[in-house]
Amino acid sequence: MADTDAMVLVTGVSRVFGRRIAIDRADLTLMRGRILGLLGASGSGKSTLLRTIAGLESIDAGTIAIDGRVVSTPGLALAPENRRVGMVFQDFALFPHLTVAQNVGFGLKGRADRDAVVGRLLERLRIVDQSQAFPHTLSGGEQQRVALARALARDPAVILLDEPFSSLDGSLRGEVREDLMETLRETGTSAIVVTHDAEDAMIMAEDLALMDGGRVIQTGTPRDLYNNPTSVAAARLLGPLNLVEARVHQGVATSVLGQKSAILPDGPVRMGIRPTDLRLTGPAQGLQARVASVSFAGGYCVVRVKTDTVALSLHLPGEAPRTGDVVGLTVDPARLMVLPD
Amino acid sequence: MRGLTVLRLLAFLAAAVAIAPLIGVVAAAFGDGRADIAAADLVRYALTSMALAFLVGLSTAVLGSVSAWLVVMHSFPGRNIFAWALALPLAAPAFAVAYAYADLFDVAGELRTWMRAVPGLDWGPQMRSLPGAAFVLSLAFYPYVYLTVRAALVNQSSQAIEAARSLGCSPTQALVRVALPLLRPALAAGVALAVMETLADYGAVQFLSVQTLTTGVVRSWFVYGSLEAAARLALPLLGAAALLLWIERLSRKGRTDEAARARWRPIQPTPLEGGRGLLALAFCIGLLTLGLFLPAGWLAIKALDISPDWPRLVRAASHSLGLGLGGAIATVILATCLALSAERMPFTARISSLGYATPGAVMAIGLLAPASLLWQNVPGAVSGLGVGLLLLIYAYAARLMAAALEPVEAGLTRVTPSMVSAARTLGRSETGAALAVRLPIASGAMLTAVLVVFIDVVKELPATLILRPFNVDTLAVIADNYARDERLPNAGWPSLMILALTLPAVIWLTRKITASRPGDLNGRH
Ligand SMILES: Nc1ncnc2c1ncn2[C@@H]1O[C@H](COP(=O)(O)OP(=O)(O)OP(=O)(O)O)[C@@H](O)[C@H]1O
Ligand SMILES: [Mg+2]
Repeated sequence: MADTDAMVLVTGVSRVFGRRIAIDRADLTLMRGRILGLLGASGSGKSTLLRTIAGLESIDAGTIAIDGRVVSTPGLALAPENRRVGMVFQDFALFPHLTVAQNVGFGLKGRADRDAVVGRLLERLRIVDQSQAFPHTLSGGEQQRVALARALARDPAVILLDEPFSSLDGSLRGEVREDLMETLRETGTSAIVVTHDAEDAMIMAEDLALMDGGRVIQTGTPRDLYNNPTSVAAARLLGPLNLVEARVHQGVATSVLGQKSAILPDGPVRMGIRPTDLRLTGPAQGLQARVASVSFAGGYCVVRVKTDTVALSLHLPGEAPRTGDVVGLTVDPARLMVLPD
Repeated sequence: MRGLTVLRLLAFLAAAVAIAPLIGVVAAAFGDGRADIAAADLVRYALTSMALAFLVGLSTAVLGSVSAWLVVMHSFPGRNIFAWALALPLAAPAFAVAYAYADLFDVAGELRTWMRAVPGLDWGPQMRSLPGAAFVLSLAFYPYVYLTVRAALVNQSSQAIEAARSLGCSPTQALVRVALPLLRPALAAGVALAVMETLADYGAVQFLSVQTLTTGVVRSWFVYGSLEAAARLALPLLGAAALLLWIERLSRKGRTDEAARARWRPIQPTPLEGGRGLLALAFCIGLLTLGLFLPAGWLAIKALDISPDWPRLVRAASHSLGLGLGGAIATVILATCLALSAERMPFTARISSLGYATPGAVMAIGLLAPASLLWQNVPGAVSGLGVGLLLLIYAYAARLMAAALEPVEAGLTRVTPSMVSAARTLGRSETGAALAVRLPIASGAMLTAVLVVFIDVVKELPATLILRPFNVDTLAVIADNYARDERLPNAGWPSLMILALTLPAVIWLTRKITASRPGDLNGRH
């Protein structure tokens, strides 16, 4: 990919707090006009990385460039107010002493078209009726829209969203997610969305970056990452996973689940399979296992089974076996993942 | 971000303002001027100060915690009024309370004369004594303990006590084994404040003829004209201030944390039926009468006997009001400079608190040396009056910055870090974010701080006595002048006028403080 198409280019960035390395030589590219998801467990450094891009946090190594211009190096940082970056915070951070309209217009101080821009954004995000209300009287979804409108008002080159749905629940979450995506696409804004929810990340993001322990461990499209993770940590981040011991010998990995070619040196590895990729066959066929427990989870059942050597979990739609049944399992070799130990 | 920013620079400057006079005291004390204070005098003053501090500490601890415990944990007639009214004696300057009680129990006074006529009743306390001074100061300063203990009782919520009850404790056992240990930090903090005020008091103890370190400081300057002697007497006070401040800070560590606040539930007060309710009522009325109504009433009765020197009173009142407002605003501005960076420079913020524990007399002495330099080296360039007033306001600010810092800091906690970050990404500089977001959100707290400082400045005596420009009298200064001449009715007028200035502010503040609830942090003021 040509660098001129990169809106945000993070190269080898580290950030240390005392003795704690919050970001460890992270590389990240946000392409112009696209939505990049940043997925990682709690404490993996997602917020810190976002804050360094916004200029709210200095960096100890590497460079950050926005729209082709270097904005952060270890010695030097462009102040956040001078980067064209909009940010939506986890707690929305609306100003409690200002009305909705004043919040949205906050970044447009001194601009003649302020009222017009605010009016347009309030309309687009369907918060015109609340324009004179104070933030604490709004619902969670409305607060989120105000925060988004406020960040969009300055027409930023990139918008950074830190866990934008974490304070919303259930049905509202999905609705707000659709809203947000639509707005970002319509406005053609480049965006980085931080989340620790795999489903949010995969639905929203066109590109995905996975973080673990301060490092960006893998990047790619959601589908690519889901199917071909290169590490256990990456595989775990994207959804529930069964892991079994395996061994590579002359380019072929072997485990109780089957065989798969692997470009890895000989030795012990792990083999992974998603619970949705295991199927039941007749009792006498496939891998023999005994059902240890069955729990109903709405659209599917979580079935835990045990073979002589491993315990596995299956997500089965429709009819489920009963506890104690002996079942046979089949595995599609294409769905097996070979992961370095 | 790291590095020196405008906000940090302002914080350093404010801290320097607070700390400079203290350095001035130490410098003067070790200067090689004439300082003939007998070691015996120093020891005697110090022992008197300690004894007084001990007595006042003990009795304010009892009065303050009993009243707080009654009002928070029980329901009885008038409870809701006493919740804030018990703090009202804060409005009365200690010296006014001293005037009233000294006169009330004067051997030649009306009361004693009347009592002598009744056989067996001829008895009265000697107010002009160490116990008398301790009595007066305890009544004046118990509200500090009342307010801190009350806040801790309200904050601690019912859960700890309920847990203790469910584990088999009787109500009394729950109090002794759970509530009291939880209250110890608040009690220590409140008593530390009361003791600070006791050590700093000049007007009351001087009138009651009790010689403390603080009266020694003032006398060394006025009677012997010795800056060095005054500064040397001030040194132990400075040491005590540091110690008290340390105790007060240490005790904060045990305060209720935010997580506990979130689950806060109000305490269910135990109803006090019949006689016990009346007893509680009598205790509260008694305390309030002794601390406020009786002394104020007696001064009023005496004052009404004479017709006062109105022009002088009005002039002094305008000086008090002007200095009070000027001092309060200057102090709050400086405290705000400090508060805006306090989180990132905790040491700088804390060191400025040393001024609060430092008696005003000591603060004034510390300013005299640099002031005389200023006067000598800038001849005619600035008017003596202007410099004098500035110095006075400086002394108030240095002494009271910590008192203002506390509410302002609390107000600023309503601004979350992400709000500041949001302002930055929306185009404001660090200073711009402070002006557009942090200060407006903390504005209510800043008003509170202005009132807190205003009350203290209007009651202030020793620093004003030492630093005031020639011919600028405040109400406190003329009250002191009249009292020195034993013209009690005349001293009553300015004392009552001080009360008239401070009482509305105290009522507003205490009602606001006692009406607030834990977890109310986000409530609009
Ligand atoms: N200002 C700071 N000072 C010290 N340590 C910090 C600071 N900010 C973050 N950290 C540490 O850096 C690490 C990464 O934190 P960060 O907030 O970036 O994680 P995160 O991925 O956003 O987690 P979460 O999902 O919980 O929000 C954590 O261990 C955190 O404790
Ligand atoms: Mg985070």
